[in-house]
Amino acid sequence: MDEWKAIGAALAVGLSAIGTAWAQGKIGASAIAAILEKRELTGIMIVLVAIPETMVILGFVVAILIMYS
Amino acid sequence: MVRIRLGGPQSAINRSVKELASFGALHISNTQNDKYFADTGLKIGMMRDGIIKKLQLAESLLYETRTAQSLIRSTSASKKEKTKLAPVVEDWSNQEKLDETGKFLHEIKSNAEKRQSLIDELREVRQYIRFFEKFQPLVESVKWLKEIDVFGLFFEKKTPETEERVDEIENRLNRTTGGAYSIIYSTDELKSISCLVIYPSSMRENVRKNVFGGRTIPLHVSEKYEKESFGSTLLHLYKKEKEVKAEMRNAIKLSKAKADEINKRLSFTEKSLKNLINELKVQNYLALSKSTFWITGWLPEYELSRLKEFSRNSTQGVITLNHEKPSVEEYPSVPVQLENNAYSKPFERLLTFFPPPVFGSIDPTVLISLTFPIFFGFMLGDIGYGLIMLTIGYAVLKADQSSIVYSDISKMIFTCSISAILFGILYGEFFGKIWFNLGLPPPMFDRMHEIIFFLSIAFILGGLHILIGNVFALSLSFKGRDKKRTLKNSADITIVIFSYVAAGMVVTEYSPMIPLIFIGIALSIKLAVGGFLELLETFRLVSNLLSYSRLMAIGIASVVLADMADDLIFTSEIIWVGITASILVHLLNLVLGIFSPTIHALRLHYVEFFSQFYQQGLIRYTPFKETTKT
Repeated sequence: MDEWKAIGAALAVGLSAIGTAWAQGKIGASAIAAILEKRELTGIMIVLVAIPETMVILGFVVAILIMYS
Repeated sequence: MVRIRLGGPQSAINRSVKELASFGALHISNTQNDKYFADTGLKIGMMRDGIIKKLQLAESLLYETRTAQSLIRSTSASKKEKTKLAPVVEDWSNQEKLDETGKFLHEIKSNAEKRQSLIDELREVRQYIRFFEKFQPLVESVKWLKEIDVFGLFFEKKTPETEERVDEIENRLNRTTGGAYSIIYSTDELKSISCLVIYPSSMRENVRKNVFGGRTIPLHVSEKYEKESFGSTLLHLYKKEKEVKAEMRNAIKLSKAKADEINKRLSFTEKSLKNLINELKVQNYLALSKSTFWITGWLPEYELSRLKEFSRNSTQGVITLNHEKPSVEEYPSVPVQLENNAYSKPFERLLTFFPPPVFGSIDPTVLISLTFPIFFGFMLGDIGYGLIMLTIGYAVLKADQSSIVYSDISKMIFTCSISAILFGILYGEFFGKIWFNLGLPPPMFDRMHEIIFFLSIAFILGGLHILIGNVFALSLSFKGRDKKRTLKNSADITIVIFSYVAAGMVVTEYSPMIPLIFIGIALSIKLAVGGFLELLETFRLVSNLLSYSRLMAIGIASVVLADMADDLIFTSEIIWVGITASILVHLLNLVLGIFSPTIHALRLHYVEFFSQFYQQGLIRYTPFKETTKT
């Protein structure tokens, strides 16, 4: 049973991390282009790049719930 | 903020505008946007031709001034130049001043161009010298042969194209001289191609015509340096190098001596031009009749008595003044000035990424100044990292003591680091688990071993944060007498509170029936008020609450990395390797530990918290005043 828990937790973090990486890559590239045009957008762009991290964070929380609950 | 309208005779326009600039507190807006002037028959926004031309000239001069500033080296003395300066261009009708400024800027530009051409010339001469020196001994050994011509070839970069070019020259030489030639390549060049071509001087004309075809050979010695013989060319190049160096030294000496003076004047010119441009732009905002003018704008209420005093004294009573409070319809167009206490003031910088809150709504700076450090400390929570951050904050403060930006940033760092230290004491973390190894008493709360409880605390913090946002939204809708929004916001508050009550009851094994009934009623109200879409909005509320789990996740990630760094010391066979690796991982964790909590705490405010109540305004309060800083 513990093996299945570990696999479930790994999938929760791993798959959400892939999704986050894909989204962050796209947003990051666009953010750099936007900053080149308008330097004052730097601050808000850093926050926008952090937006998809919610997925992996929630994946991490789910993994913890699987492992410890 | 109060709406201000100032009127007077047209003869007093220039003087009044100048005096308002020195008054320095009125946010001047376009009379076109003031209903008071609608249908009055006054001419609005009609910029006179002369003014347009002067504005264009001033804007281009400002651009050239900034270019000139980038060309002149700043000196320590010019950096310290902070004194308030009277405008160079004292009167906008004075064209001579603008022309004089134009000449001054042109002089700086041509001096910079001259310096650059000297640098280019020195580089070129040195390149030739390098080449000639290499082949000089060889030329010396063959120069007694009167019938020999010597020619040099130099290509700065060795590429397939340049190699092909050399091959082509060799083929042509072979055909033209019938094989009576020799090419000697330099063997110590890897990146460039240097070679000496020797052929009978009787074939000079044919070689020049057939081999090079009248074309200039890349990097062959320029005609201005070429002399009769190889040796005399080299001597001439040495002489030229000395001359250019001396000229450059003089130019640098002169520019260093004048740099302070020029920088001061440029800074002076920039400020004056900015003032002039602002003053000219104000002209476009005026409302004009045949003999009178009107200016409209906004003023903080506490400045009103000063303005009354000003209009009596400075303008010698020729200006009339009226003022009124803005109507609710005008709120979106009222400029916003944030006013906070000394503790919260630095945190206004976090709002600069956003448009300001609309006039009459809520400025969340005070709350951010409390919740931001709490979230930061909750995530980082390490005494060691907190102490390092305190040092960083001190360094930022000392970097430029006169800068308000640095001072604000350092104050925010101080607050966040103190929060990290306090949470570090609570968690019992000093660079990870070094706390345990130092034999200190066990922590009050070990977050690594009570993860679920840690997660619950994160959700409770999130719930409180969202709840405050909803209360703000409720107060705004109540103040605006918007019944639908008031009901909707009340339902949101009910849902948040009773969700937590229900969760608590489930954990303590009580039946959550009663809180669920309240949640059901709240959902029904939302459905009745805003329809199905409003009901769907509840999911956004839930996802906002879930998002606060990042407070726990970032914290755990940070502590796991710190623990791993500590383990490296004790598990490594060679102790100094372990210590070095541990320090490196701690440094990495520190960088991540500062950036991640900052970005995520910001995000929780911008996305989750602001989405509950924040109403974006359009205009920041920007008083019309003389520029005293560049």
